[in-house]
Amino acid sequence: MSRDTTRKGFLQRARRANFQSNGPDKPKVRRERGDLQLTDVVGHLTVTRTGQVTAWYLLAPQRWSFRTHADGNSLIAQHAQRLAQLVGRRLHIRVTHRPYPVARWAAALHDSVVNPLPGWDRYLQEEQQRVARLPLADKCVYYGVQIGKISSGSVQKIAAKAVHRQLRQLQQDISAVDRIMSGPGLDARPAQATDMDWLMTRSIGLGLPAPLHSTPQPTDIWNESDLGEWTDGIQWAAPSPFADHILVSGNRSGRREQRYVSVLTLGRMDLPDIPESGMGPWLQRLDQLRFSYELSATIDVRDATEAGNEINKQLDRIRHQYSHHREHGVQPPLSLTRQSQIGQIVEDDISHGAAGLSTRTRGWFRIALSAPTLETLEERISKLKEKFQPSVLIAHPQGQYALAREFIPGEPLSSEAYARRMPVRTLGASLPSVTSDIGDRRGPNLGYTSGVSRRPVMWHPWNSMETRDSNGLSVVLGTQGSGKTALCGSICYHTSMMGVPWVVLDPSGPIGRLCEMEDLRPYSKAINLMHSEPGTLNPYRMIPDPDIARYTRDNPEYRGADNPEITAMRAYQTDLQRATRIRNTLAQDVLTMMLPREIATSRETHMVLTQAFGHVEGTIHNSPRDVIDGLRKVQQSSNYGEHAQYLIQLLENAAETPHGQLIFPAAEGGDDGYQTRHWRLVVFSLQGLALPAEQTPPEEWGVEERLSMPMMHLAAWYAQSRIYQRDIGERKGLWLDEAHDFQRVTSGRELLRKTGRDSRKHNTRALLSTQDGQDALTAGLENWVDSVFVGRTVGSDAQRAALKLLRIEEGSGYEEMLAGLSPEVHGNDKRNSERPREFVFSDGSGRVERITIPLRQRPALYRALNTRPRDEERSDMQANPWLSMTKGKGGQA
Amino acid sequence: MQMHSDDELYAVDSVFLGPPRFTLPFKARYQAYAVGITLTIALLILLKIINLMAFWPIAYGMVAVIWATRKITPHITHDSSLTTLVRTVWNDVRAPRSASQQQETVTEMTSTGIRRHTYL
Repeated sequence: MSRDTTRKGFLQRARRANFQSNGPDKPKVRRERGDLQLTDVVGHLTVTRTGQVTAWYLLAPQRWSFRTHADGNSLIAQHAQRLAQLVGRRLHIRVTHRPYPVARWAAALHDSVVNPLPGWDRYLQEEQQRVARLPLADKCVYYGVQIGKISSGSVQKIAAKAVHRQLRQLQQDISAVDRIMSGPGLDARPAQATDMDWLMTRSIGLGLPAPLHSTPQPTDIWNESDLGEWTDGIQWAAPSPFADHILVSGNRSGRREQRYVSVLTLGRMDLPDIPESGMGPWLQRLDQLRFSYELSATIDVRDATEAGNEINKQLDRIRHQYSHHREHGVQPPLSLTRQSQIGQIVEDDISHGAAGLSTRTRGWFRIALSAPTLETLEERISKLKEKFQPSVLIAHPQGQYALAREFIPGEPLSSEAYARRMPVRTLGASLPSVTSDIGDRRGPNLGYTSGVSRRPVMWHPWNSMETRDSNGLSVVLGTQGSGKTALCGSICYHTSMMGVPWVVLDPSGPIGRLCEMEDLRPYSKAINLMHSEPGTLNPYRMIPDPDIARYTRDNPEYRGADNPEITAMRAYQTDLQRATRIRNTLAQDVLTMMLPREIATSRETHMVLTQAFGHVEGTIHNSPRDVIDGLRKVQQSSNYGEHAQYLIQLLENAAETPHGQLIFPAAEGGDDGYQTRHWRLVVFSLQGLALPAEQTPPEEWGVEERLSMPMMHLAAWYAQSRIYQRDIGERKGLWLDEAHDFQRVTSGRELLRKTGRDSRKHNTRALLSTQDGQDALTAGLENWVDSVFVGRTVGSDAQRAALKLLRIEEGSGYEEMLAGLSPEVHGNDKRNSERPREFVFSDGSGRVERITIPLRQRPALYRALNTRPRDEERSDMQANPWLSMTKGKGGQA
Repeated sequence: MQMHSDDELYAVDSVFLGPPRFTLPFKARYQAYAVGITLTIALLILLKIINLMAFWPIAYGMVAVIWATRKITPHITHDSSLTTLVRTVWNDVRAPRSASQQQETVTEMTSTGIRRHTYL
C-alpha cells in the first residue's frame, strides 16, 4: 500500500481534487479511471459518453476451403464492395470465441439414438470429456459500424428518454447500414441481446476463460447503471510502466481467475496474391493458432478526395526529398524512386480505378493473447509471429493498457501508431468470418478440421436420409495406408454404440478385430464365409424378390398417379422382372469368372451360356446346378454340344472345390438369416481367400485366384442382402471394404448401383472403400454419392477422379494437396503408424473440408483398426519368413 | 487477386542534408532535429529556472541533449511518430498499476494438499 504515495497515488489524488473542485453543491462522485466510455446499449446499438452511436452486427460464417480461385476472388470482391459502401465511417471489427457447446451436442446425439447398446451412457460421457478437452471454440465475428453522434452525456442525464428519441432520428441511417451489412460478402445480421452480452463479457474480461454458458437476457437495453453486470469483479492492471503485458483478473464459474494479456499489432505487410498463392484470407490465418485469441481492428473507410490529397502530400514529400538530394549532389536513395512509382500508381488507382474497389482504408489491427503464466504467454507470442512470417510483421508495442482497452466497444483508439493503409480490396481479403464448417451438430465426433481452422467434425450418417431426403452412399478413397479402414471402422464403432446394426464385408480379415472390442463383443459376430455351409453364396439367393406389401395404393410413390393401384402393381411386376434378370446376370458373371480366361471370353462360351440361361427361370429357388442342367439341354439340342460338354466338365470340377461348394449347393438352401439377424455388428470375412494381386493380368491367374473373384463378388451381394432383411425404415449400415474389385463385371457394377440407389429407401448408410475414385465413376455411382472421404491419393488419374467425386474443379492445385495428405514421418515407423490420418471430406451438402481423424484417443479402437502387422507378429515374421506369405491383405506378402 | 498495401508510400525518410550549397557531414531526419531542438529549449529553461546559465552547465547539458536525442529517435519510426510516442508514454504512465502489489496471498493447508488463495 506504500505505492499509493508514488506517481499513481499522485494522479489519483489530482483527479479526485479536480472532481471535488466542481462546486460544493455537486455530489462528490469519484470517476474511476476504469470507467467505460460506453453508457447505453440499445438493441444492437452502443452509445458512448461523447454521444457516438455504433451499430453492431454478427457475421455469418463463410466457407473458404476448396473454392476455386474465381470463387475466392469473387468472395473477396463482394466483401470489399460492402466495405467500400461504408465510406466515411469508422468500422470496429471484433473477433472473439464461444466455447463449443459440448453438453448441447451430447444431448442432441443422445436424443438422436434409437435403442443404443448397454455401454452407451459411459461411451457418451467419455466422448463428451474427450471433445471438451479439444481446443475447439466457435468464432464470433462482430462488425461495429459508426452511425453518427447524438447529444453528449449531460443531456442524456437530464432526460433519460432523449437517447431513444435521438436514436429514432438516426433510424434512416441505421437502416441503410443494415442493408449494406446484410449483402453478399458480409451476410451480417444485427447483433441480438445475447450477442451483445457475449461481446461485452469477452471484451471486459479480456483474456479470461469464457463463461461456460451465456446468460439469457430479459431485455436488450442496458443503461449506465446496468453496465456493472459486465464490470463487477473485473480488474485490469499494468504491472509496471512500459511493461509488455497487463494483468486481467475476474470471477469465472465461481473461481477467481487471473490472466497475463499482451496486445500485439500488425506491422508492415507484404501479402502474396490471394488466393492464387495458396494463402487464405489474411486475418483468418489467426484461426490456425492452437490457442484462443481476440482481435480488434479499428478501420476508417476513407473518402476518395481525402485519401487522394494525402497521397499527393506524400508525393510532394518524395519530390522534395529528391530535389533536396540533387541540390546537395547526393545520390537519392533507391527507396525514393520506388516510393515515387508506387505513389503514382496509387494516385492513378484512386482517380481512375474500378469504382468502389479503389477506396482507401486506414486501420489499426490489434491481437490480444492471454495465458495463465508469463512463459506460456511468451511462447504464444512467438507462435503468432511465426504464423505470420514473412508476409506480415507483428509488433509488440508499449502502452499495453490503453491498447487492450481498444477491445471494449466504445473505447477510443489508444494511439495512431501502427496504422496500416491499404485499398479496400486488400482489406476485403482479410475475411475474418471465414471458418471451417462441415458435418452437423448431432452426430458422433469423427475428428477435427485441419484446413483453414480447427473445428470439431460431427457427422450423423443418417441425417442426410432422414432430414434431406438424400442418398446414403459414402465413398471412401485413398491409397494403401491412407487410413480408409481406420475411418470406416471408426464410423462403424461409433454408430454401433448408437445401436445401429452394421454388416461389414472384409475381404482381408483385420476388421473382424472390431468384434473383439470390449464394448461390442457381446453384440457382434465375425463370420468367415469361407467356412460356411455349402450353398451359402448361391447367386440366386442373393437378390430377394421385392416385398409386395410395399406396392400398395397408400405408398407415397404411387399415391399421386391416376390409378395408384394399377401403377403400384406395374411397378411390382417391373421390379420382380428386374430381380430375375439381375439374378441371371449375377449367376452368368460368376460362372464366367470361374472359367479360364481364354474359354470365358470365347464367342462359343457366350452363346452356349446364353442358351443355357434361357432354361433357368431366375427365381430365388434356382441354383447354378440348374445352369448345368440347362447346359445339358444345350448339349443335346445345339450345334455347340461339344463346347457345352466341356463347360459342364469345367463347372462340375469347380463345384467340387471347397470354394465351389459355397456356390453350388447340394440341395436348395434354407433361410440362414438367423446367422445375422440378432447381432448389431456382423463382419463377414473372406480370410484365406487368395485374391490375385492387382498388377497380375487375368490370363496369369491360377485356379485358386480365379475362383476367389466370384467368391468375393458373391460375398458382397450376400452382405448386402443380409442388411436388407431388416425393417425398411430402421437405420442400417453396410460397409464394403476393397470395393474396387466389384466394378470389373456387370453384376458388380449393378451391386454398387443398387447399394447407392436403395440406400435412401432402406435408410442405409453404405460405405464403399476403394483405392481409386475411377471405380465409382465407372460403376456409374456419381449421381448416387452423398458424401465422399478422400485420403492420400497419388497418381493423376486417381486424383482427377477423386476431385470429380468431391465436385471440385480440376486444375486449382488441389491435386498436389491430395498427394500430400497424412504426410509420412521419415525414419520413424512407430510415429508413422500412429499419426492421425487426414481426409478431404465432402458432407453432401456442398461443404468440403480437410479433416483429421485422431484414433489414439480411443486406444482400444486404435488397436482394433491398426492394420499394420503388430510387433509380436513382425517378430514372428522375422523368425519365419514363410509366415508373411499367409498374413496381410489378401494373403499377399 | 493482387494484395497491394500503401504502407511503402508512407515510409519516406525525410532527411535534412544541410542548407543550400552546404552539406552537413551527417545525415539526420527532420524528427531528430525537432527532438534535439525541443530538448535544448527544455534544457535552457531548466538551467534558467535553477539559475545555472554558465558555459560548463550548458556544455554538459548539450552533451546530454545529444545523447537523449540519439536514444529517442530510434523509437520514432514510420509506424510510430513523435506524437504517438508521447501519447504511448502518457498512456503507460496513466495505466493503473499492478493489482499484484495490493494482493495478499494466503497459503492454506487442506486435506487434499496445499491450496493458495489470492485476495485482490
